Amino acid sequence: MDVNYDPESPDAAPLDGGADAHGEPGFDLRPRTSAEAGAGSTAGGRDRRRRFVAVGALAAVLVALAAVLFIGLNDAATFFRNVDEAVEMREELQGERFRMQGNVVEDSVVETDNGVDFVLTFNSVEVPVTHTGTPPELFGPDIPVVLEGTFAGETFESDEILIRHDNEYDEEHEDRIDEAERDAQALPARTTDATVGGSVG
Amino acid sequence: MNPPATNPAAQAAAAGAPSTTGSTATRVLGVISLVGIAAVAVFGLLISPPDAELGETIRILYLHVPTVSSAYLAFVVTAVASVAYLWKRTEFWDLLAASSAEIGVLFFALTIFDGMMWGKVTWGVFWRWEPRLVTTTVLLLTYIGYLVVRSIPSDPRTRGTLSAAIGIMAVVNIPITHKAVDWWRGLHQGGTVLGTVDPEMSGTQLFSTYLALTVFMVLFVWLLIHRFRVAWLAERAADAGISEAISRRRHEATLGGGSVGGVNP
Repeated sequence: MDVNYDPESPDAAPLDGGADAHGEPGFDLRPRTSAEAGAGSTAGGRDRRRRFVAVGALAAVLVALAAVLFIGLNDAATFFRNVDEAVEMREELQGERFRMQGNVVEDSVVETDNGVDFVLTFNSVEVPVTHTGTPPELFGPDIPVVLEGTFAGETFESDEILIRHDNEYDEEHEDRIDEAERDAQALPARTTDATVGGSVG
Repeated sequence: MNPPATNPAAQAAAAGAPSTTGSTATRVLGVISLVGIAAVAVFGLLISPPDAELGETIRILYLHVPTVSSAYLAFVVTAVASVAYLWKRTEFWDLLAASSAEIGVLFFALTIFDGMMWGKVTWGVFWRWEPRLVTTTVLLLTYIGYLVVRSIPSDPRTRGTLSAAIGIMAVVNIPITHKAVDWWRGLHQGGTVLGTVDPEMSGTQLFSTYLALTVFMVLFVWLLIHRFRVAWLAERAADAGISEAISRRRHEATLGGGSVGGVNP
């Protein structure tokens, strides 16, 4: 009847749950291992895996939190110095990289080969600035900016201009739209001029 | 997830449960949300004029302010529901807190994303570790932590108690984050509408902002109801899974006893 009879094969097990040809009980009395266990125990295995992943994720979140607090407290506490404060500390700040905040003095902006030169002012103290790179689109006279760079003698050498927009919004009026359009036409030219020193951000 | 649905216990449990998370209320909220979003798009992108200083980029505000406000609202709902859970100890408040936190994280991540886009075009950079962005990142991470803690397998009471404690503590960071622009020096502009008595805005810009805020609040409620009902049904399915496992074991025990007796005469 069974040339290829193999007592270990699953096919050898009786289908009716009763005793098989060897008189063994038809169902398994061995303790369950997780692999062959029913729904309850595999759920237990899944639980352990889920717990492992969840605790790992929680550890990652905590490490990220600690890192953010560390960076944040280092950096955000003195996010910038105002121009007058920076000038007062000019000796100590020589060669040190920091952020300086102030307003761009009107008519002081001069385009150079690899950026712009201008004067930054705050609390009636002025500092000459040499900036390398393309200024952001909203850069212009009377705009509050934060510069990133270092003092080199009297001059502040900046390589990043961040625009500080205030929370005042105003609808654009007709005359301002004309102005904006002039700006828009002027801007692409300026951007292409300074691509070498570009890479803002 | 299939087995519970095919066994008798789950079917019995499902018989008393709704087969959909929709209801008349959610359908009304859904229609308002979708029509509202279309209206926000029309006002935000077409009708409202460009800003005098920010130009066309002002339009990001009509997404940025509503998404962050809905996220704050969601986290406040989580905190209130967490307090209610510790008091009443009912599954309703636990699941409401969790559902709200999940939607809050979604809206908050969206806020950070659209804020980064806005930052790139106005500040000139996507990101700086300035105070508002630091507190914002901490806020996002705490609520991600809240959801992660909930995903650790444990009994519902432990899970509920632990997450309620986090849900209450984390909300403290919302006023800190909101006021960070006033308290510390940074790059981020001050508050626009939320909590300001006299907004620095007017006309169609202000109307578009309020419209978008209202629409996103409705959208939040709509999503919250659906998310809560899904969470509730998931709990019922889990219950059904447990009773199914118990009944299966009982069944085996009876079968086993009879069979063993049978082969040993």
